[in-house]
Amino acid sequence: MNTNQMNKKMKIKFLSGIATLGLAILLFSSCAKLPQAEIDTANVAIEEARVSGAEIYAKDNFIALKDSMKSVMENIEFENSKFFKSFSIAITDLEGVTQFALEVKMETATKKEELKSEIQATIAEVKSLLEINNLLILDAPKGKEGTSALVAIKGELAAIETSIQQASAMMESEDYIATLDKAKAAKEKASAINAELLEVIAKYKKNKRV
Amino acid sequence: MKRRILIWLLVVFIPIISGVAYIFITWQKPPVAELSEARLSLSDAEKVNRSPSAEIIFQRAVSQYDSAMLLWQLENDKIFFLRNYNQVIRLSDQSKQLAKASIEKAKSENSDMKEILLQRKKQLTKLIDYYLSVFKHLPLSKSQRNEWTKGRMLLQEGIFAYNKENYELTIQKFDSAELFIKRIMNYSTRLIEDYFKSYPDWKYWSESAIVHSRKHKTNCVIIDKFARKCMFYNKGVLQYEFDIELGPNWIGDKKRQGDKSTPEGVYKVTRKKKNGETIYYKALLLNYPNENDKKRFVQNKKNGVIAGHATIGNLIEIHGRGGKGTDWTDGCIALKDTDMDKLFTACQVGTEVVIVGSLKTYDELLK
Repeated sequence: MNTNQMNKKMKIKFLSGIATLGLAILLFSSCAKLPQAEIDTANVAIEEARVSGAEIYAKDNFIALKDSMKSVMENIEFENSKFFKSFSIAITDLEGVTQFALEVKMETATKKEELKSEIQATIAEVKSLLEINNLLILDAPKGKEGTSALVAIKGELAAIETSIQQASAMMESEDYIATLDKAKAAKEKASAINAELLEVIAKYKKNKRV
Repeated sequence: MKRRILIWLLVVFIPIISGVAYIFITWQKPPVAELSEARLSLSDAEKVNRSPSAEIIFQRAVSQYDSAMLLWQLENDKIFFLRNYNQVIRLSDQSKQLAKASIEKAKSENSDMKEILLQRKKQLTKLIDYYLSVFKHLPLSKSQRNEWTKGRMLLQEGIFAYNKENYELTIQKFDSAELFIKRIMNYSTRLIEDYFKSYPDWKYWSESAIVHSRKHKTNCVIIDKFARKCMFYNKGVLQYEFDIELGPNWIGDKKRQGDKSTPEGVYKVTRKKKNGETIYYKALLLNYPNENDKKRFVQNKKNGVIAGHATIGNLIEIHGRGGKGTDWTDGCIALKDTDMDKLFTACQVGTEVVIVGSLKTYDELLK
């Protein structure tokens, strides 16, 4: 083998080395694929949490959830910027986000159930107070001292009844916070009327026996 | 041989090393920190209760962040040494600034709104307190009581929303509450203003009775319907003052039997009913209807103010069994039994009883 042949051989070896290195770089940089399936799953889970009402009933955690997803997407893009990409951490993070989204969805459902129970209990209390108040009006002394003085209170009771009907209708639209406020306001008023009626009737009875 | 290798090394490695050096010099780090800062600012802004104008700024911040992320992806699609993140960094910074601006805007506007709504809450509560102090005994129909109650419940709902810093809902509730409350307020004001047109008569009757009592060393009773007071004067000097209860439709002069109204005018005690002679403990029967009442009744019938078959009514008394805390009589004046004892002893048949709407003017009452 003469010197020329040796040089040629070395040149080929060198070039093929460079080519192999290039291929290796290409291979390493493109073999890690974007975890699109995990991204989609996480996004679907977040959307489900949102649709369930997390924005309202689990506001803080829903904001944290969205922030976590954005953070993961930033990390994915950072990996994308590298020669040697690795999405293994991002995949773990995305699974964490999906899990978090499920927890937020559950928290939302729990909060909604709590509110629903509170509303139902409040409405039941108001209905009971309304029944008692209506009976108290009937219980008022008859004759000249008849129910006329208390009849106007029926107008107030009717307003409370309307408010409670509205609250029941609002439950259907799942606006639980405003519904609870409506029910609470009705309860407050029904309690005040109850106290007023009891006081008036007590005075009636006290003065009757003299 | 060695020379050839050297030449090869120079030809191949120098450009490679130069290229790598160039790339390292010009290569930009990915904008991780900038986007992270923008994201954190967005999260902070999202936690704040945003006013509509703060929301507009916030949405712009979100849009800039999304654009920055998209642009970053596009840059990453390029060959590494052709990537340029300047625009991504610029958008991230803008997003961060806008997010911060939206927080500032929200805080400032929320603070303003909180104060405005607090004032509004105070005004509406004051309006209710004012109504209850001035128009407490004013007879309202069932539908009016319904509206009044609706107004008060809406105000309460508004206060709940206010406490939760839901200012949009607070405004909505306060607006509706104000509508109902002011409607009743206006009705009551008109009614009272109209009622107080008779004030000169009331003033004349009451002052004349007191002067007469002083001059002739007699006694007289003055009933102030609005103040719910019964005053006993002896020789022109106030001796007793009692709380009273009236009929539910007490406002205005009595027009007919069964209207549950208390007549206004100058009357006399015609009979003293002892305990046992009345179911209302003790009673002082008045000479209702007097001549003026009869004339007015006939005129009202002529004018169609009352039905043709209506009767004028009678048996208007000052009696006991009061203290029920409500207006319950058919037009009589009820006192507590203990007060009735004093008045019954102090009055004789013939004692003058003046019944007026109010001893104070409407303006005085408002003050």
